[in-house]
Amino acid sequence: MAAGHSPMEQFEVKPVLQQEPLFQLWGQDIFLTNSALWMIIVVLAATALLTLPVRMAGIIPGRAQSVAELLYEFVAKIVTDMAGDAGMRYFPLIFTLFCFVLFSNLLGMLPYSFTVTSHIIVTFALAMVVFVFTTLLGLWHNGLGFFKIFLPSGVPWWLWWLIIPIEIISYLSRPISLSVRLFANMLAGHTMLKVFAGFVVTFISAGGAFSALSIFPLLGAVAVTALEFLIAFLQAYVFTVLTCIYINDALHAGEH
Amino acid sequence: MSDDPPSDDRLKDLGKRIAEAQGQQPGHKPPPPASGLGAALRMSTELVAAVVVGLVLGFGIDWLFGTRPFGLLVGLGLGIAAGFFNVFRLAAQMSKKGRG
Repeated sequence: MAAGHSPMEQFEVKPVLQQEPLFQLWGQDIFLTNSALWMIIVVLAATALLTLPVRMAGIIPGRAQSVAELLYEFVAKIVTDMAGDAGMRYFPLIFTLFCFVLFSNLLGMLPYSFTVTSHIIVTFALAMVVFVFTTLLGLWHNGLGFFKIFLPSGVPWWLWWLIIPIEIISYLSRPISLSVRLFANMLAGHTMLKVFAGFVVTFISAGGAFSALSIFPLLGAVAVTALEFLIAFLQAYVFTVLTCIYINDALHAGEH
Repeated sequence: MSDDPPSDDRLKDLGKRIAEAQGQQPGHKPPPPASGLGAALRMSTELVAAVVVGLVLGFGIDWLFGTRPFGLLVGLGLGIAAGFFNVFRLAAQMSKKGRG
């Protein structure tokens, strides 16, 4: 390509600030990578936005306080809609996940930043947190009755041998679809953005009549940027909704 | 406390007014509907994820018990079925949301 920049280069994990490993763990060098750095930034930014305005809370909220309250109410609404009042008990976990995903997606939109959610290992770790948590919650809440989740009501007994393995596979596929969806959306969107931007440079450097054509990929890049902001929010929302649905399933597994 | 009727009435009235105000609050709009592309992506990941899980389980069973290739075949079949179950369930959920 034009300047030897691949659209995938933005996803490269590499050490930042210093090239030497921070310390060793079980013979493995531990680096402060751009991924780790941006996770720290995400956590700090989310914590700052949600705690500082509340500390200085007024009856009439300022802008930052409004945003913090809006986020809280938005997620609280999702939780009560999807998992009922019993689900509100697990609000801290859900809200933390929502904020992490949302801030990762949004901060990833900054130029020169790094989108941690564009890496499958990060989203898979998040999905496994949800999966392990909901499974343990279901077992704790329903005891062995939890396993009724693998047997939908109204299935005749002579189909059990077929339905139960299918339901188990369907259940095990949850963390995969949850993580792949978030990861694929962020990866595809950011790659598309880079490809459009690359076209602009290519057309301009082609010179002559081609330079005039560069307006089209530029418009495309602007449109994709807007779309990416929508997707950043939508994917955080979808992740949260599915977490709530899984928690609801775990809470009511025995009642099928 | 005093339970004289007028204040009790006013309390009830206040409750009603609060409930009304909450009903009218514009903040509680339903979330943006997923676009067609988003829906397609969701469905395809559900389908693919179940097939992958079925394949991996079947392959694992083969590897454990030396039943190659039957575990893989059965796992693939079950995975595909589970994928269709997932998509069917999601579609039912989406169409319910769309109507309501």
